[in-house]
Amino acid sequence: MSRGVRADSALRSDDVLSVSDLSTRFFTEEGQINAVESVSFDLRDNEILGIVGESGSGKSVTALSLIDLVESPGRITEGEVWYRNPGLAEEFRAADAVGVDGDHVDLRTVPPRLRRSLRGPSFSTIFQDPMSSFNPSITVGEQIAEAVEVQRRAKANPRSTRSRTQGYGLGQYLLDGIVPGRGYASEESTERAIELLEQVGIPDPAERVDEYPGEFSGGMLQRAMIAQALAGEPDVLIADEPTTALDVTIQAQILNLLREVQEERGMSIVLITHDLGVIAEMCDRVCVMYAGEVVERGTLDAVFDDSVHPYTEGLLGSIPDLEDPRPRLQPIEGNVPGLVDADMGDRCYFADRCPKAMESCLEKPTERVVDADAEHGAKCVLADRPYDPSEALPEDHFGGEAE
Amino acid sequence: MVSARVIRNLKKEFRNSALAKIGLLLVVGILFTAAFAPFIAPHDPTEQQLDQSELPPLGFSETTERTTSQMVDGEIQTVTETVEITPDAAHPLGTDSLGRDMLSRIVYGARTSLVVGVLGTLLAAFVGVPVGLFAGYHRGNVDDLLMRIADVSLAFPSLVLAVALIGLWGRAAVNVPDPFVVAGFASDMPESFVLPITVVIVVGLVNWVWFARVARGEALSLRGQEYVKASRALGADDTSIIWNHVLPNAITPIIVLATVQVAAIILLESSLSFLGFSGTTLSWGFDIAQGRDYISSGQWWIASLPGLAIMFSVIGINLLGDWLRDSLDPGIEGEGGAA
Amino acid sequence: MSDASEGAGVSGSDPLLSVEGLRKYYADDLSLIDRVLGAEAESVKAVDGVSFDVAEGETLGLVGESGCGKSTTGETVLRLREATEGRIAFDGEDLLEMTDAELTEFRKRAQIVFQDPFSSLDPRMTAGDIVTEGLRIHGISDRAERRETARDLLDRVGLSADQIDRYPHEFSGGQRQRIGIARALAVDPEFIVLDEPVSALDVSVQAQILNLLDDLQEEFGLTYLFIAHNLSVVRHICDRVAVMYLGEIVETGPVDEIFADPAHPYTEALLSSVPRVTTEDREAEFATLHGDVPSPRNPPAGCRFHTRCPEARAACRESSPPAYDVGERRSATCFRADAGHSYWESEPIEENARSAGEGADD
Repeated sequence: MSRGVRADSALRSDDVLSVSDLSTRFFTEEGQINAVESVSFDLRDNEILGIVGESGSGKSVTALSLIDLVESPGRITEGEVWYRNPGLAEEFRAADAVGVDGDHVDLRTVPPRLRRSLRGPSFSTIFQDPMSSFNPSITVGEQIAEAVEVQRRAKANPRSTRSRTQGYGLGQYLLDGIVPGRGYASEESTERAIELLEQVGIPDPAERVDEYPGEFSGGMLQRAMIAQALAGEPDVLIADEPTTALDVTIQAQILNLLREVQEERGMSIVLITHDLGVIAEMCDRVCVMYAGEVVERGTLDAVFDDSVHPYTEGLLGSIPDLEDPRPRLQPIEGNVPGLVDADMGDRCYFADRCPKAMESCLEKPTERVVDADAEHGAKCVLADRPYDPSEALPEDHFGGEAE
Repeated sequence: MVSARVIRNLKKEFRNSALAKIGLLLVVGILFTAAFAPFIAPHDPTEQQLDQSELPPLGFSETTERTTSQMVDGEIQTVTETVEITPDAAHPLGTDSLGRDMLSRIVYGARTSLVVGVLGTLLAAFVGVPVGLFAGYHRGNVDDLLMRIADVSLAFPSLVLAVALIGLWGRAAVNVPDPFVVAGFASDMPESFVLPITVVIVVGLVNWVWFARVARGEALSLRGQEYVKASRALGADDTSIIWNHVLPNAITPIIVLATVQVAAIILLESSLSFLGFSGTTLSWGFDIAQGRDYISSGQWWIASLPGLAIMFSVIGINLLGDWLRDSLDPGIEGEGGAA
Repeated sequence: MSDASEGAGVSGSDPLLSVEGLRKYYADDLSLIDRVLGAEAESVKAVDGVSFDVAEGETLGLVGESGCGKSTTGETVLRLREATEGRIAFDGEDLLEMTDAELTEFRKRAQIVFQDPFSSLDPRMTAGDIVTEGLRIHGISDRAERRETARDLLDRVGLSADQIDRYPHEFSGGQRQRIGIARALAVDPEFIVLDEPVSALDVSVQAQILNLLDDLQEEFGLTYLFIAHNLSVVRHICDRVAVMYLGEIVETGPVDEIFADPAHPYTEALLSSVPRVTTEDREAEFATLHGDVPSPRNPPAGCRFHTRCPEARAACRESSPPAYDVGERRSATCFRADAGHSYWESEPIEENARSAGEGADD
């Protein structure tokens, strides 16, 4: 177990979620793709944790892995996902097959059906594209009420997935088509849906509850998706690029809303984005991902102001600054690697683009502690010693690999 | 136009799909049969041997009641006796009512079907694809008009249209000399092969609509692509944009449609021959029409063997089309990029 | 002022591109039956009276949210779409009056680079063919020379000349964008419309492309019309900026001045909505706008922004403000720029400042 930046390796009581050494692979015809490789991080009570990276860095697959939604040909091959839930911990304390540590349970070891039943009441997700996340032929209200209903039934019978979806099979679906008004959601759930819509700032919720997703604007639909995610009153909200598809003024509205619901409900948010600005404005702690790995993590101040990894520095240098006119940008040369296992080699994955690559980078770096107080860690040799130009790799070391 | 990637995909899909293999086997078999018909057919398909009529295929024997009249003592006596007709090894698939060899007829029938199928499809594509691309690229009134015409001809039952056109023009057929026979090989085979021109034209005109619709749909979506806009910004005119950018990118669904159309046209040709409109007597459809009357009296093979030939060629071509579609479809190609 | 002896040469103060009162309306596509029944086509006012100049050698940013008409403007000034109304002059010539032959000449002088690095390259052409398409169209040089040009261009935009025979799918997003830039450069243009050229790219690659665009501008003396929604990028690359909202330009001027001291409440709101990449002075909440952008099918009467404007007053509902001069080469279409306007006496529109979204439902 590599808890790296932590002094002790024990789980903290304020960890809602503690992920260690999580790896997800895709087994495709082109070969094995290491989408997520040995990722570790913790999510605390009441915080917003940012995961930032470019496309193909594995940030979205990390999110899917947390809620066990990785689809074939992908598979979680390794790792532990500790989730704090005293009830579950008690239930499984005697079970040998299930990892239990204090109030935490290792979700990778509990039965899949149970894992599934945690989606909603424990973990909720919002995605980038609200348009494709709603069914266009069912009203927004009904879809939110459905989420409420699922949660209500789950509460009545917490350990069964069947009861929650009872009466919502294919037969019911066909019947609904013929006999209108036999909805799955009860009146109570619809009431609750209206309440939720109001909470996320949708005007005239009582009317809009009967509208179809096509009648909502992108920003409104993203609000509705947040309402749906809140239906189960989750401990953890996973927001995967929640504002990427939105205009900047709407993005600001949605970010304000997320912050508001986080504070009101005291939940924890994993915010996944490629936008360093969003991270800087929203997050308490941050993980920087590159080529499937978390290359640097720590508190926001530590990572942004005292960054150690040249990739983090490169990302920050790539962004034009709104306040500061016209410095020449310092981009990272080359392109993001393809993550095919066979091509990856056993070196620092960033070495071929790194301006400070040295001989020792040909060996895969482990995570080093930069500052234990800030929980600042980096997978880079520069955490231990300064850059030494005499050890620099020759420029053509990686040949034509870069471009 | 055919990149290495396309070839790689074709190979990959072929390896993975048993159906593709069956399809290719069937189609190659039929092509081979049609091309080398004079060498494969054991008899001249038009040669009538009345004394050998209605022979069943090998492995089947047939009992039939034969009525003979004889002069016995100045009176005509009618004797009905049950005789058993045994198959003859010289006619492995039997003979029809005029004693023509069924195997040879099916082998030669493949020529008619394939030629009509391929030429008809080409004609349909040559009419339909430009119309569709033009309509889809320009949109507006041109598009409205052309597509209304297409809708109307689609709404019209194709067989009725074919019958009407043949009624109008009559049945034209061209005799094409068989190169093998002319060159002196297989000299006992028919010297020429009848190409039913009318049928080709009719099926082409009936089926162009399908090509027009598919081409239009592709052109509609391609015209909005930024590389088309970029080409206009560089100063290209519409014709060269359609030729250089729209057609090459629309070609995949058109090829796939063409394979389906070949099969459909073979069926249409059979229907026309069955109704007696084709102008050739060497066609699977014609044989089915002929054999129809004999099914009730027990000579099932005359109609059903050409029927099977149609079935297998249609299946073969459709399987081939599925293979092409699966390997040319970029959606399938993109599967690997899951991460 | 230039004197007559400069003749055809472009004088320093004459704009290379001058757009006046440009309008582009899209009529709904009516079906044949609707037309027979005499239905009226409803039009979307994508661009509604836009005027701006681009001086030679400068970069004008056209910035706004999705649906504000910035891309339509970019394509209309290149006559990739036909303008409904207005005047576009390129180097003094009226673009909308050009004959086909003149237009073909114009196409060599003005080019465009698109946003989507995937749909902007024909997947069935090689990089070399794509880059030299313009040369083929205009019949410039023979096959061998074109190939040589293609190699040079690929090299110039930071690709390897050996990649000339590769197909687009073999390149990454950033590399494809370089090919798109090389294609535009091939005909040796003076003016390039850059339509969100870096929006689809990762930040590190985005920086590479922005640097490349900077270099090319200097090397070839290019004039850019840079269309973007990302204000930081605009700030980085543009000399002047025009902010668009619902088909109109609400504010225009030098980028430094506008970003330091926006005169229009919309510009101000846009700027305050951008998340800053800094750990200092984080605020509890973004100061941003309420509600959504109204539909361009039915834009609000009066000032188009009054439904979302935190400063809106009754006067904004009644008439739409003209463009007021607020500095040298700077203007804003807001009554607040006119100290003597009756706006200051009229009642504030209360709900805009308070409730979220309600004002947007006009």
